[in-house]
Amino acid sequence: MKKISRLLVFLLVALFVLTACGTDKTEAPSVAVDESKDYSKEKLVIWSFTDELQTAGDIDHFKELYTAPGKPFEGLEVEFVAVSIQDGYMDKILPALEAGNGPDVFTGELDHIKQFIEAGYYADIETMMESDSEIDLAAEKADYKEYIWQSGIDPATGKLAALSWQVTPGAIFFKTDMAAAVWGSEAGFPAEGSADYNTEVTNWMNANKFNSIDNLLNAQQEVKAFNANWRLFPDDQSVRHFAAGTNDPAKWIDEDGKLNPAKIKEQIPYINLVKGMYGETIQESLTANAGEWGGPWFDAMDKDLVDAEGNTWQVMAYSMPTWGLKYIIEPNMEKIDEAGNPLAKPAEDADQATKDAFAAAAFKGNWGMASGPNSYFWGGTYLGINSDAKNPEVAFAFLKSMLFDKERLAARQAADGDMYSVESVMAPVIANYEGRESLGGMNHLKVFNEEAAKIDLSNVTIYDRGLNDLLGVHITNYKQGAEGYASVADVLTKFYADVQVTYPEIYVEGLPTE
Amino acid sequence: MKKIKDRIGYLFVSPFFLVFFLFNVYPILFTLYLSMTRYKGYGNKVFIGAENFKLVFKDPNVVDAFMNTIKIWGVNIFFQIFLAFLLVMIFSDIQYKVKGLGFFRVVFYLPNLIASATIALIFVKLLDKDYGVLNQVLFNIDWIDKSIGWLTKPILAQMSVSAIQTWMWFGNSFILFMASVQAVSKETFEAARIDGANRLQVMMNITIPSIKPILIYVMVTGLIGGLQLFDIPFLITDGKGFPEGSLNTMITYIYNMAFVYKNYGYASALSFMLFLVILLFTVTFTVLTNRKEIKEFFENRKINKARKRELSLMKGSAKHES
Repeated sequence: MKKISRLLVFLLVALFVLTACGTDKTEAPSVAVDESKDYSKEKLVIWSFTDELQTAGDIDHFKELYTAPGKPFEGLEVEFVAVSIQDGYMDKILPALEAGNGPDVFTGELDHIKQFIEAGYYADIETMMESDSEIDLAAEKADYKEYIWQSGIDPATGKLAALSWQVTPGAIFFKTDMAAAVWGSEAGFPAEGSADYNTEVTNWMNANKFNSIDNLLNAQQEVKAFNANWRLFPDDQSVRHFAAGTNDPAKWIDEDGKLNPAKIKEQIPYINLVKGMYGETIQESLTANAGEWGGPWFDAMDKDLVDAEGNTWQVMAYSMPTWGLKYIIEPNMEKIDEAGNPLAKPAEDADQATKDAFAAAAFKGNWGMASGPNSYFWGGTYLGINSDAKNPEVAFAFLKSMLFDKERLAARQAADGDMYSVESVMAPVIANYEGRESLGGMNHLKVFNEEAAKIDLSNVTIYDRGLNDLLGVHITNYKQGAEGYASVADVLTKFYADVQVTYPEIYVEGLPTE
Repeated sequence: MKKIKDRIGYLFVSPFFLVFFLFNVYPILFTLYLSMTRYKGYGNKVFIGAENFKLVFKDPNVVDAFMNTIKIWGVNIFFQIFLAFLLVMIFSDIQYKVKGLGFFRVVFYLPNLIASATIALIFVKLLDKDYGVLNQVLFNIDWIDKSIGWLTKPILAQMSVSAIQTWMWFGNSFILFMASVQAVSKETFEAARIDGANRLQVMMNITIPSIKPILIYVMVTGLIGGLQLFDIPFLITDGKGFPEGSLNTMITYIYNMAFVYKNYGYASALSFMLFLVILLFTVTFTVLTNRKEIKEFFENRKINKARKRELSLMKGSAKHES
């Protein structure tokens, strides 16, 4: 009732909109202002699990438009709190929201926003959009990637509750020179020297090596057979994104709200794949046993790994989403000087000039970007407004400045080179894109755009992360040959036992074990 | 006047009770309440009575997690006390006259000052089976011909964590023991030496009795802390408890149940059960190690009661006579 009354107040206020239209870019767009409030005494509190809103200038942009002198919310204070997921973002925000002391605007990844929506913590932003004279709801809906829009809808009301400016499809980034060495003699493998060599190699890999879970296993065996010290992936976490093996994956929870047998059957080839990849020693393994986010995992991107026994290992590929290319892989890619000779990476304590020279140097350009057996996403930041927000009109103005200001989004995209979920922003960028130097000039945005189109997030449930984690523990025990884990049936039986304890509400008898 | 004074007294002690009720009693009672609900951390709390407690007895992970905790703690507390005690023997020996106690106290205590996250990160790098420094060193000096899975074999992983815990905490025990021993006058040790007592006799008759109260304190706090072992196993395994669940301790399990799987009701039931177990262990241990004092306490109480009774009888007869 409280939430409805607040919404009504907000809509009433919206009727008395103070319109301020102008040509100056810093002039505030049309916004609902509550005349009874002294905004210089109010505060907008924003929580996020990354510091991106601050570092990308989104908060400054909002202040410039709305809180600077002469602007609608003049003098309003903006408080930004960044708590990483590792530092317990959800553990901190949930009690705050539950106690009614939550932030006005808060972000979340997809499974987080599903929880926020289920709990009723996000306000209906669709109605706010409808009430805003400057926003064309239908046009915005058409402009945003469908899966992004759909994933932010509150099933209870059918209205939009959260929206993201990003799309985060994933890919398999691989070293084309290593791929050429292994498969260069196979039929149809592109000849080196062509203009779109990296794209052609990528297409060949998509069609022949990474297109199914079976082929993913075969490819790893072929790499190892070609060179006993080469591995396709650093560790088996690289294949976890391909657990479904299809672009039409089943839901973890069926229509009756119970554990879905179809989803469990879908996991079996993946369980066998992980088991097939495992080896206690690197010699026995199909991977380099370099755990995700560990030192050797990063090191293998641009150098040989040296194990405790003194053996050297090379890794060909990494599974990463859009942000992984820019923030994880590229900073660790090989670089070359003007003569094409490899440049040594400066040490941590090197002087700034050496570091700058290395940063400015050209990439070797020996990486391609392929799709796996199924399209996947990883991460992504959604924005929403607290249904108990004290100043919903201010919170909505922040969303408006971030999500519906297309000029600003285009400038932001140009600055970070990321994939955005807005067609009007991305279409010209993709069309005019000269290609990513690190990927040998490949138009990776086009590939990501195509991948994003294949993603269907309607199958994501609030249980996904928990169930994947629970199953993952038993898969690890199975691959390591733990006592009591002789077969896939053992994995599933133990998984069901855990589900019965952890999520009794979704457990059901008679689930498949093979 | 006396009443006012009494009331002021209550005012003086009230901050303690306020803090105690707010931060101790209330959380315990709230945990008990949550343990009887189904709650995801948001939305409604559905009352389900004792269902979560029934589940505790059916859940095989609880026994495994409890046994893991006991194993890791048991090895740790043994070596922690043994090492601390050994150092106390060396530093308190009047014949050795080891110098630089202050310096060594700092050195031994240092691991306790380093953040657990840092320690976990360092040991993960050191103990990594394939790329770890320890195996690399052991290979280079030809002590091993095959990498040892310090963190990939269940028993080794548990012992590794025990070793880390020992390294972190033996300095703390050493400082406490040493303070107790130093409270005994040097003359006592010298007199024992002149009287011909050997090291074993000095240890049994002077050192151990002098540190007994603090030894019990270390054992009890070690037990409470040990059963709540969390940070190092959690950080080393990213909360997963690998290998084969051997580093899945009770608190790791409770943490995951609440904050990863969002089953706050069951996590609260587990917490409350652990609270009862710790209480039981602590009471049992205290009773066993303080039998003499408890016996004396009850005997004194008996004597006091008898005295009071006698006193009241005497008062009664005096009144009657007057």
